[in-house]
Amino acid sequence: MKKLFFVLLALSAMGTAQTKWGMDRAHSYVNFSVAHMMISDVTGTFNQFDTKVESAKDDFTDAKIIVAINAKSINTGNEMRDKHLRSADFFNTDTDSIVTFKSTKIEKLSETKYKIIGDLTMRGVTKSVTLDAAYKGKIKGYKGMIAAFKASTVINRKEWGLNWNSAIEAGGFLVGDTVEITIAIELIQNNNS
Amino acid sequence: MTTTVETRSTWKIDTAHTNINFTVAHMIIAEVSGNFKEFEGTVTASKEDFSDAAIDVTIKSASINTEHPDRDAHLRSADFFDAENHPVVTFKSTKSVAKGNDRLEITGDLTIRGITKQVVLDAKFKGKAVSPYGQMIAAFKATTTINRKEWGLQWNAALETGGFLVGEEVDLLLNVEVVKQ
Repeated sequence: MKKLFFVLLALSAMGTAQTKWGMDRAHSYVNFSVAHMMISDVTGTFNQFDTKVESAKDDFTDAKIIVAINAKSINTGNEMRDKHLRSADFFNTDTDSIVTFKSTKIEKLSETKYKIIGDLTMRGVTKSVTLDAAYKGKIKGYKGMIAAFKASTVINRKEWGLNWNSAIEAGGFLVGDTVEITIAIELIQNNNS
Repeated sequence: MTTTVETRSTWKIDTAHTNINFTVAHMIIAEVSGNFKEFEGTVTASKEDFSDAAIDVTIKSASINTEHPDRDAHLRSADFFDAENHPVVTFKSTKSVAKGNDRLEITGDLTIRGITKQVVLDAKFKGKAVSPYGQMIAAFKATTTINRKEWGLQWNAALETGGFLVGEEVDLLLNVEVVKQ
């Protein structure tokens, strides 16, 4: 988790009149699903990740968002498969264990619909992705204000060098190229801001 | 007199490629997701497109997993699943109706905490394939939304600002891969 902390520390240098938000890990998730045998789906999650957000505006349209994920914490409920996913065939976590998303632009489509554009880095490869996001609002929680977002996107894993596959006798491949990602984040406003 | 023998094929759930996932609201605006780790089930059908599929699934309630041990212990307690007295959740289909474009409406009895209520799954038959091990497989995706309180999963906590901590509605998402027996 130390590495995640240092990635997120980079954000703190950015601004002064900003509202800072951390993440409630217990009420956030990063899930994904990918095709198996062309027709069925495997789903999984990352157990270790963190999010930092800084925003001066109340509606987060100027927000800077960083999400850092420990790729080693990938979890599909099948230890052999998870080990394979951590190997050089996929995430290569011995050399590239941290996946990051850094927002570059936020477009507000309506009160609740946003597009969050940012740089996704995996295996040392950085590419821009667009998240379709729902801003769920703010509410007073037990420990201060909370805000919630849910976002999804579809990426092609091969663009980041997660290349492994195996041909199927009947044609096609064992593991799908496109990966559907769904993220739900509960942000907690930092008390000192 | 002739007798028609209905030949139904039997398919078993491949647990390595099947997920029973759910999401529920937290603090009204946020969301928690989880899954059940232990389950088994069979699908039988006489039609190639599974339009007459019969489904029988048993889920171990104590295998609930939201990646948060304290919360999972709470979910297993009498506030929610009461897993000690009700170790399994079952779903048995009673009717399947083909809706076109490989869509199926599967009606069945969902039993949680000893309470049985009818639910309707919105399902999609995603096709068949031959696995690398030479087995015939078939895949489905199904969703439904249930109100947990109808099955006696009552726990909640009021929020200072109005509303409740945990949502009543639970979205279920099932990705199912079955292997022909």
